[in-house]
Amino acid sequence: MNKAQFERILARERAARKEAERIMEDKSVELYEVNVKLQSFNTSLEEKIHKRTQKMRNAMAEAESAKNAERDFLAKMSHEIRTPMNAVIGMTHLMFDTQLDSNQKELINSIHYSANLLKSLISDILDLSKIEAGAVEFEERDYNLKELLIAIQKTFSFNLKNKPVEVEIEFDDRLPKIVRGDDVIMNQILMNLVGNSAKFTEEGFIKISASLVSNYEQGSLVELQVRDTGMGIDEVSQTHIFDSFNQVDRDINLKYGGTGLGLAITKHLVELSKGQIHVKSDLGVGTTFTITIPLNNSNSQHKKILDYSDKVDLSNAGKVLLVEDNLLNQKYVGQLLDKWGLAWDLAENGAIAVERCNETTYSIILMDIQMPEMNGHEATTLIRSNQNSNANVPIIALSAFAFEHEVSKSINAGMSDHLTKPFAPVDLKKKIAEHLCILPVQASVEEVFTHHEMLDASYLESFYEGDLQCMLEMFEVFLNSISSYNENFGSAIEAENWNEVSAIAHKLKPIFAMVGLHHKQVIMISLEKEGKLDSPDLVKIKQGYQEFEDLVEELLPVLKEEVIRIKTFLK
Amino acid sequence: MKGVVFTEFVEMVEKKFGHDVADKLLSIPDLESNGVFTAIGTYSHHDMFKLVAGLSELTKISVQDLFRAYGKTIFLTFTRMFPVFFKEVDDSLVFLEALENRIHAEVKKLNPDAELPTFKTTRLSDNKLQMIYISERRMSDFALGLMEGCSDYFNQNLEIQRHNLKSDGSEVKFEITRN
Repeated sequence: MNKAQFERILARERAARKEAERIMEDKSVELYEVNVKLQSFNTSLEEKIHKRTQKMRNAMAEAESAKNAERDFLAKMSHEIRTPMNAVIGMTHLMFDTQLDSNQKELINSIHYSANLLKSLISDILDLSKIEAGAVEFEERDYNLKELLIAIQKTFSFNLKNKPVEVEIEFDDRLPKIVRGDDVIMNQILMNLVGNSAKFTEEGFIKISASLVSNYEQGSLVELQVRDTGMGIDEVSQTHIFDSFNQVDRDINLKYGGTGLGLAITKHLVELSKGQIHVKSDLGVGTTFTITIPLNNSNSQHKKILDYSDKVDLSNAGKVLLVEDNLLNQKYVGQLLDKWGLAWDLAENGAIAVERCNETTYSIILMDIQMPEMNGHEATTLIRSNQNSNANVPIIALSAFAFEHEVSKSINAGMSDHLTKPFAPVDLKKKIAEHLCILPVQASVEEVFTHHEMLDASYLESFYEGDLQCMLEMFEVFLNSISSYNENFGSAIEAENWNEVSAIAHKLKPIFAMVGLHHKQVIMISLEKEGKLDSPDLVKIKQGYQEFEDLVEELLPVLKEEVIRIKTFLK
Repeated sequence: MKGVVFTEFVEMVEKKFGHDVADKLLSIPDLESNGVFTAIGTYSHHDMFKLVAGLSELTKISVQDLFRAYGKTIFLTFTRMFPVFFKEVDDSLVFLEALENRIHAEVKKLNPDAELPTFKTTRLSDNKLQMIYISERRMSDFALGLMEGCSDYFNQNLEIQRHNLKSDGSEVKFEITRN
C-alpha cells in the first residue's frame, strides 16, 4: 500500500466517522424533541383525565341529588297520601257508631272495604317505589328470631281460626336465638309470605321453619321456609311470580284481592338483606317459598335481653278467671298464667263466668268478647251489677277487635281495659301487673347496667368482675390522664423522638384495655413496634397516631357519659 | 439504501479481493457519497450499482453473479446483527413468508424513509412458497442471493426458480421449494 492510497483510505474513514457522528447527533436531537412532545402529550392527557374525572364527579353528585329528591318526594307523598286515607278509614269507623239503617250500613261497609284496599295498595306501591329508589335501608340490630316467628304464627293462627288451617313453626335449635339483622324487614318478608299462604290455603297447614345451613365467621346462613297445602302455582306462573303487578290470573285478583306487589316487594326485601328467594310449587298440592339469608351474630350475646316480663313477679297475685271459648286461646293464655305462677280458673262462656264469680273471689278477670250463650259484654255487665265479691275486680277484654268503637263498647259495658288479640306474653303481663299495681322488681346490679355499645361489655365484666366502683375509678383515671398522654404523644412525634413514641404507646396499651377497648390495642402495638425500628415508617406512625386521636375523640364523650351513668346507677 | 449494505459490501471486497481493489472502487469519481459510507447512514442505490459495475470490470465476474454472491454473504451478517428476527424461527419458508409483514414492517418503524422492495408472498403448499419481487431498483439477483443465504442459515435445501414477470426485471416471480 503506497502513501497516497493510505492517506485516501484514512481520509475516507475520517469522513465516515464524522458523518456517523453527525447522524448520531441529529438522531439524539430528534429523540430529545420527540421526548418533549411526549411529555407535553402526557401532561395534556393528565389534564384531560382530570377534567373528565371532574365531569364524572359532577354527574355523580347530580345523580345523587336527584336520588335524594326522589327519596324526599316519596317520604312526603307517603305521608300526604296516608294521612287522608287514615282519615277516611277513621271516619268510617265513627260512622258505624251512628244510627244507621241496614242499607246505609252496607254502603259504609263497602266504603270501609274499599278504603282499606286502597290503603294497602298505596302502601305497597310506596313500599316498592321506596325500595327501588334505594330509600329503604337495611338497619342492623339484635332481635330474637324465634320470637319473631312465634309472633307471626300467632297472628295467622288467629286470622285463620275460621278455616281448618294450622299454622306451625319449626325452629332449628342449632340457630342462635338472638341474631343481628333488620327485624322489621325480616318481619315484613315473612308476613308477606305467610299472608300469601293464608290467602290461598283452604285447609291443611302452613309451616314456617328456620334451619341452619352453615356457620360463617360473623354469623350463620339461615334457611327460612314457608310451606303451605294451598292451591299451588303452575309452572309458567312460577317464573314471573316475583314480577311487579303480577298475579297468577285475573280471577285470582277478583276473588282474593291484593295488588300483586307483595311478592315483588318480598323479593326486593330479601335481596336487600343479601339473601335469595326461591319458589317450588305443585298445583293442588301446595307451595314452598325458601329464603336463604345471612344473619350475623349478635355482638352482645353475653348480655341478657331484658324485658319487662323478667322483672315482674306475679306469683303472689292471687287467682285469675279466664273466660274464653276458643281452645287454642285457652291453652295459650293458660300456659302463660302457669308460667308466671298464677292460679287460674276457666270459664268457657259468659254464663259460666258469672256463676264462677258468685263462688270465688278473683284478683283479675280476662274476658273474651264473642262467646256462645253469653258474650263478654253481657257477662261483664252482670258481674259489675250483681252483688258478688268480684264486682270491682279489674276485667280485661281480650278481643280481636282493634276498632276504637269496639273498645269503647267494652269500656261502656264496665270493663277496665282492652287487649287486642293476638298479643305477646309481655303485653298481657304488663296489663295484669298494671291493674294489680305490681311494680317491677329491682333487679340486681350486673343485670341492669348496660354499657355503651362502643365498649366491649363482656371484656369489662370479666376484667372488673362486676365491680362497678372499681370500673368507675379506672374510667376517671383514664379521663384525667388521657389528654396529657395525647400531648406528649403529639410532641414526641413532632420532635421525631421515636423511642418516646414507642414508650408512650407501650404505656397506653393496657390503659385502653381497662376501658373496654382491648381490641384497639393493635393501634398501640403497631406504634410501639414501629418506634423501635432503626428507620421507622413515618406514614405508618402518622396514620397510627391519627387513628389514636380519632379514637380518643370518639371515646371521650362516651366515657364521660358512662361515668355519669355508673354514678347514677350506684346511687 | 441503508449504509450497512455498503459497509458490508466494502468489507467483503476487502476480504475477497484485497485493499487495492476496494480502494479503486471507492475512488470511482462520480460516486454520490464520495466513497464515504457509515452503517447508520443512507445512500443512493446508484452508488451500489456503480460499485458493483466497477467490481465486475476489475474481476471479470458478471454484475448478476456479484449481486447474488453479495446477497448470500450479507444474509449471514444480518443473522448476526439482528438475532431478534431469527429467534423462534426454525424454517426457511416460514422466515421468508414473514419477511414483508414482520421484518420490513419493523425496518419501516425505525427508518420511516427507508425504500424497501415489496414481496407478495403466497404459500402454494407445505413446502412451496411463491414470492413476487417488485422494485424499481431491479435487484432481483441480490434477492436471490439473500434467499440462498437463508437456505444456508437454516441448513435446508431450497430449490429456487426465477421467472421475470416484467422484462426490465422490476417484477420477478420466485418459486421456492423446500426439499
